[in-house]
Amino acid sequence: MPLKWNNLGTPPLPEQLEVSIFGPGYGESIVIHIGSGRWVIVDSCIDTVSGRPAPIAYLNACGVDVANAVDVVVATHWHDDHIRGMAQVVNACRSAKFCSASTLQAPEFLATVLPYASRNKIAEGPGVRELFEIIHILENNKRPITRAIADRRIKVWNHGTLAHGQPVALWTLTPSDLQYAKFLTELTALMPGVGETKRRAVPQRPNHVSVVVWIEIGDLHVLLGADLENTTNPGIGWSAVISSTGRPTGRATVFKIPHHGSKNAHHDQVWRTMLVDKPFAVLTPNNRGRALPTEADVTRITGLTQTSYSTAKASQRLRKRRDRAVEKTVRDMGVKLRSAEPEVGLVRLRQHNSAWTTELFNEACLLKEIYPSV
Amino acid sequence: MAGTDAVAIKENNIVPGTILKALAREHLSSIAKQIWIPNTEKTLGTSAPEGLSIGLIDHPHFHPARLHVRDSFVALQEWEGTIVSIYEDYFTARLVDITAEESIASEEADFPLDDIPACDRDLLRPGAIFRWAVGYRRSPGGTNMRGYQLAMRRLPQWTKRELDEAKVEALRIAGALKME
Repeated sequence: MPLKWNNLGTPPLPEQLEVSIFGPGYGESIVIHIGSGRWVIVDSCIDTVSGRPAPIAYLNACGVDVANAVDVVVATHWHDDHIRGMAQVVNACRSAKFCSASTLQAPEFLATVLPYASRNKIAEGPGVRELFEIIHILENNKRPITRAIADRRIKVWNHGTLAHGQPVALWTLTPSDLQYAKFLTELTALMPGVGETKRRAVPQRPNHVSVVVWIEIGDLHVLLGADLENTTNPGIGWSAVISSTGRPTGRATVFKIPHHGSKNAHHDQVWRTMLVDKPFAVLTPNNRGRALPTEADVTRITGLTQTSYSTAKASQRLRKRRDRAVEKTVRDMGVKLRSAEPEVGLVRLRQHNSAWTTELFNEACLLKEIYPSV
Repeated sequence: MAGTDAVAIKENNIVPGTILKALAREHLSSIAKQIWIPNTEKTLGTSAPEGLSIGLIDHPHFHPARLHVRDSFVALQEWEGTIVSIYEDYFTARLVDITAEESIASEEADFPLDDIPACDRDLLRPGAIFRWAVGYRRSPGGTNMRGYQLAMRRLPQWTKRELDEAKVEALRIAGALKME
């Protein structure tokens, strides 16, 4: 179904849970209806057609007053594919708590990133600009940052306050102190040095401060894996989440698969101990550079659950066509050119009276159909 | 007129009236020596007389534009690229379409590392910015060939002052932002 902001159907009922996952092939955003017209936004990506943040475009199309109806906005980490449009989201959702890892307030992080933003506009990439726009908004409006750390309950909607009558809680499961310390250590790779030629800030991988979100709606649970990966260090990544004794118990029915379904982000124990059998699992592919998920990733995930989806197809890399001479020269150079901005796809899951419905918009598909040959 | 040129004209039996008018100006003679312009029926297909490298024409007419002909490049399409990742034999870059006056990167590409000139290799690292133009290279003879230019941008260097200021500003922001 094509994703047009005017054909999204009716907004969810007050007692209905909704998890909508957007992904254009690069970037992701998640919008959650927790009941009674209250919403949570996790990350932001751009709707390439309208040029607006996809979560705002979607909620506006559903008739939601984002200034008052969004209770929490989470920025899982400062990678371009997760924060594009985030400044607009933070600005528009004026009454929402803004939740992020405490990097934003870390002088080490700021001192590393600030030189990329200062004076030379050429070297200032879009991610850095977004970051300082958010800082500007928060500072000017005296809005606090709710610090995301391992096993912290960020927001509670009490029993009986929402139409379904269930209590709701939003938790962050990462980063641990060790993850945060490691992140700061690895920042040195980005640190500019006196006399170095200016350049743009590009993301460091893996990202150890990616914020994993857990939402409880009564007995129903949602696990949003952000881009958290594994390392050989058991105190970092998914191993740290698994071994934590402070995290909420229960098994999630809806799982946003971490880091585009990559093998590095897979942990068997997550599937065995944190998810129900055959959960709804959704990933946002990364169609840039070394594309994810690979065919092996798809085989692994579809082997775990058939109700797995992708917000875009792996092949969705159509690009502009240009003058024949340009096309030929690009080919002769051996350059592989592709579009980085396909249209945003949407996987929408809604639950009502224990029954789930799944809707796919644009290039969103069953995960097994992401590659024709798988 | 330079003495050497006068001797060359005499030895090659050239009528002085056909000499390039500008040649009379001694300060231009060195430039004029660089070209030979066979632009008449009489001279077409012939090479410059031995020992004579000045331009000759039937009429005493000066062609200033031709004196400066060199390789030129006409861009049909230009991008600004930012290197994202570097691999063993190629690098990946995000591209902003300058020709379409776009402001955000809407494309990306993998380039062979060989496309970076040796003199620019020291700039090759994630975050480095370059200009990529595809178009026609025009030779002095007027021949058009498809071609490209890929040039790394040598931006200014970070100074101690800038980095010190960043540290001060970082502390200010860290103090101004409230955490809960």
